[in-house]
Amino acid sequence: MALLSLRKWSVKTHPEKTLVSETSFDLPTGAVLGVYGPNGSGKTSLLKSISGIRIEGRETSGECWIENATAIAEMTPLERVKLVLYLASDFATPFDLTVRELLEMGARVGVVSPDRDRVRQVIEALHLGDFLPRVISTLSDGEKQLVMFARGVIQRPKVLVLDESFSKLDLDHLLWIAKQTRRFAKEGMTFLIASHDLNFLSEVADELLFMRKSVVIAKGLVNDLFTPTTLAELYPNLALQVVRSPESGKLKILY
Amino acid sequence: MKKKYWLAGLALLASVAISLFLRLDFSNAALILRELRLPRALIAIGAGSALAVSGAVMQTVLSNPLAEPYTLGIASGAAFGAAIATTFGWKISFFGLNAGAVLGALAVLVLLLKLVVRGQGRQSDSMILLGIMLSLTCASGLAIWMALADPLGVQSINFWLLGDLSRVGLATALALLGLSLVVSGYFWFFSRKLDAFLFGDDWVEGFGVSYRQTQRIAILLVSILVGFCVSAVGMIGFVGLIIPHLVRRHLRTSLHFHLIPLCFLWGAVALTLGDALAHSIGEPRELPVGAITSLVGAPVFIALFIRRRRGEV
Repeated sequence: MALLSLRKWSVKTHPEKTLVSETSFDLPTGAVLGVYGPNGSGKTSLLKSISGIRIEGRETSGECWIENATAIAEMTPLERVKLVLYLASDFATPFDLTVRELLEMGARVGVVSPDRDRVRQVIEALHLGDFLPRVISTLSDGEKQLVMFARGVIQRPKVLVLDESFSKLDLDHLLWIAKQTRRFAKEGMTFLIASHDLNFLSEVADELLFMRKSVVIAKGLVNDLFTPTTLAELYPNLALQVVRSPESGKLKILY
Repeated sequence: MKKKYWLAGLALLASVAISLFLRLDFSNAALILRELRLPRALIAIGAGSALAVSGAVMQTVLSNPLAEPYTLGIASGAAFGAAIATTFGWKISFFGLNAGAVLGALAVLVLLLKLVVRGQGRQSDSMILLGIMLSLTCASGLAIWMALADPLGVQSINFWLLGDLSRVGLATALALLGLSLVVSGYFWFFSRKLDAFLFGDDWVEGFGVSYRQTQRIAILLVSILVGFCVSAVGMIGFVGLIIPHLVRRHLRTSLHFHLIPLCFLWGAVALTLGDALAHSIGEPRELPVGAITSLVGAPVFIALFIRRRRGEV
């Protein structure tokens, strides 16, 4: 039984512009799905609509099920974030808040008493111990993204949707996050990750989904999608090569 | 954390003592204390706490550290509403006056939000600019209304625009204090919902909190609180700006479970002290208390504004 299933899921704006066209797929619990596509291909529209974020002037059609629940957009915010949480690439606050305060807020969502062991475990796994007393506005963009990821994992939705949430991380942190994401997935969290870094996606994801001009053109294992034909469909004008990483054994794109 | 409450509590006791006994005429002490100074200290606590808590909540739900009842025009709207209610003969009833004030406050807030949505993002300074313009509009409307409607109206313009704690009786003082306690208690009880607003609009629902519902309730309660406050003591500016700023930045308390009670206490301290100065510095003359708070508050606003522009806040 799939945790998340889409059937002919579409997102349209009012004067009939299609942002996401008739998308169908299933995602089992503990999966990591990478979402890739050129700018404006509809990734964010897809991810936001799945997460139940309503945007004025947009309509969805088709079916979207998360753990036997449909009509995510009709739920109360609390019911919704227990199922699916959407995180974007950055955040800011005009107030002086520390990292510890933010993470504890994440831990308290929808529960009576926060799971302190969980918080400690995530902080250790992501090496965020030194960050805790820091004021959020003093963090760099990349540091903020680490904190945001930690908050999402601590909050423990069934599906964590990360929309370019690692765009500012350095290589070392990126690979570390990939490893930790795999670990959290093994513990039963499900991830949808949009990124512009194909080589990061091949490292972190079990499966990839390619979008182009509002349409999902391919979905499958990394090994099946990193082929000359599929890549040519994605980028007709680019000559991309596929190589195998001697380090991780995963396929990588060379350009 | 305990220390912060001890400090605030002691400061409140000290400021009440100052307000009660500063330049007290000891030949008539009992009478003056009972009839004048005690109601005055109580109304200062009620109004100060109400303004500080309102300011803190508005800053949070509008994601704007410069927001407060005065800069957003809510206080002005309340004063205008109350003044109109007065001349329509609602004066006799305590609730008529307050209803006018609450409606005025609410009208300005709703109008402001509509204008801001039509203009630009809510976090920008344009919200404050619009708020100050609405405030000036209501203040001018109030001045003209009072001058036309009532032969003695010109004198009450000062009361509305600069605030005065000397007219209030014990009953009103206790009512305002009670209301301030109840509303602050509500915000304290639902402090987690307010916390969700600390990271901007996009993150509110991610914490499982309904954006619209929470914001609407906050706006309604703040309008009621500010309405009652203004109809009792007139407009007193900047308490709602300075106190939350002080508590957030200098006491390092941003989560509302502690922010709300600390703002309550320090707001009470600020207005009690301000009013003690107002009634004692120029004896036998009264200084307008709103002028004293603005004299301190406006520079704080400017400092905050400059820091924000530099991107430090």
